[in-house]
Amino acid sequence: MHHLPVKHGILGILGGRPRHGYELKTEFDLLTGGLWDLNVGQIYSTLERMLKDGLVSLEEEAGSGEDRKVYRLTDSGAGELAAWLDRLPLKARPMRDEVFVRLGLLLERDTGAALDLIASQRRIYHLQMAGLTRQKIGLGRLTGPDRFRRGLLLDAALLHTEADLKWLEICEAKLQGGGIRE
Amino acid sequence: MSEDVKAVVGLSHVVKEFRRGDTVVRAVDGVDLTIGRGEFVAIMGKSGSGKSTLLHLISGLQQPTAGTVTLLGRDLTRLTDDQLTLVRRDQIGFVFQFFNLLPTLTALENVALPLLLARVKTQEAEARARHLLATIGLASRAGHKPDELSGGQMQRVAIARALVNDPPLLFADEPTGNLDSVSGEEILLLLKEMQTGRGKTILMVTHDAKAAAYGDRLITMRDGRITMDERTGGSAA
Repeated sequence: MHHLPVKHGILGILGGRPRHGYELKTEFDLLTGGLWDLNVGQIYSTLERMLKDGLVSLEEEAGSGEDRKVYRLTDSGAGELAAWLDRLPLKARPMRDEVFVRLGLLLERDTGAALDLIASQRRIYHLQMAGLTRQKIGLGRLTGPDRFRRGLLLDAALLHTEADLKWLEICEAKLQGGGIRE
Repeated sequence: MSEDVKAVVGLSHVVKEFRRGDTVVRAVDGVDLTIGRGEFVAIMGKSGSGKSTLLHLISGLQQPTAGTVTLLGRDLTRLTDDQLTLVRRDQIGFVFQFFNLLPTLTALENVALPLLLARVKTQEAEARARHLLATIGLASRAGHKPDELSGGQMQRVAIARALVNDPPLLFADEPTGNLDSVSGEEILLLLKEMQTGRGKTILMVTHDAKAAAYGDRLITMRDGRITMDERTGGSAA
């Protein structure tokens, strides 16, 4: 299973200072440049588990209401965060895209449909890259570390999309050059 | 009709054939295309797809075998060579992959050159060139020769040269093809600024999808034909 670092992202944010639950979503979005569509539910379910594992504690501030609850990093959570940041380099991303599976099945069944899928998928990737590039151009309005971090994440997203696009070009060229039954 | 008024480039059933030995190669095979004022169009395709030939036809560097090419309302197929030269000088700024700066001239002299060729007085030409270099952050490099500049700086000088006449059109052929990715980005941002800030119509031929993503319209070509023509601009990501 490829590791989704929601837990460690939260640990890192709480490493700065204790936070309200609703703040964590905003901070997480800043950390990931808004490129990761994480919903509030995922944040809270992760926090549940972290509470159970003793990585964070929940404290009530003076006053009343749900938003008075503050999550704080425990010693055990701080240890977990330090160990994670210190860990060996991560494995390369797994090739687990739905497009691979669809194309893999279509290759044998219907070359025409496979080529159609490639064409429509390429269009999507080009639109995606144009959208990411607009976001990058729009970064001029931001300042400081958020801009820098977000710029780097957008670069990563652009390069990954470009790789997908190049792969489809190779698929297309190979299919047109004889295909699977060559 | 209202669309035609805004059109700066119009191609109608354009075919371009080349003779290579005994065979005839169709580099452009029946292209219809309209480009509006202020668009930033990226043209992608493999080498041999016809994308560079298309740019040459639109700029009047080559004449089509069949069909018509109009630029700013003028039918290029009906112009003399002298008239075409004037159209290129006054209406189009060119940016190339290898910058094409004159090695013996300084950055300032390179930028001023098109004005001098158009018989603008030296003093005025150099003042305009100096101003333009300053707006793209190269004021301190005005006295440097190309071999004293980085690739990115050379390309910025080339863009300044392309714009010094204030032409409405900017044609770029692989403008980032010879640059590292960070300098390439600066060039693309500069081109984008020329579109959004100065209202230039930009046509850029590239094989780089990352560069093409700066345009707001993407055309892909294969075997001399347009295989995709997509508006990529807009607010939706």
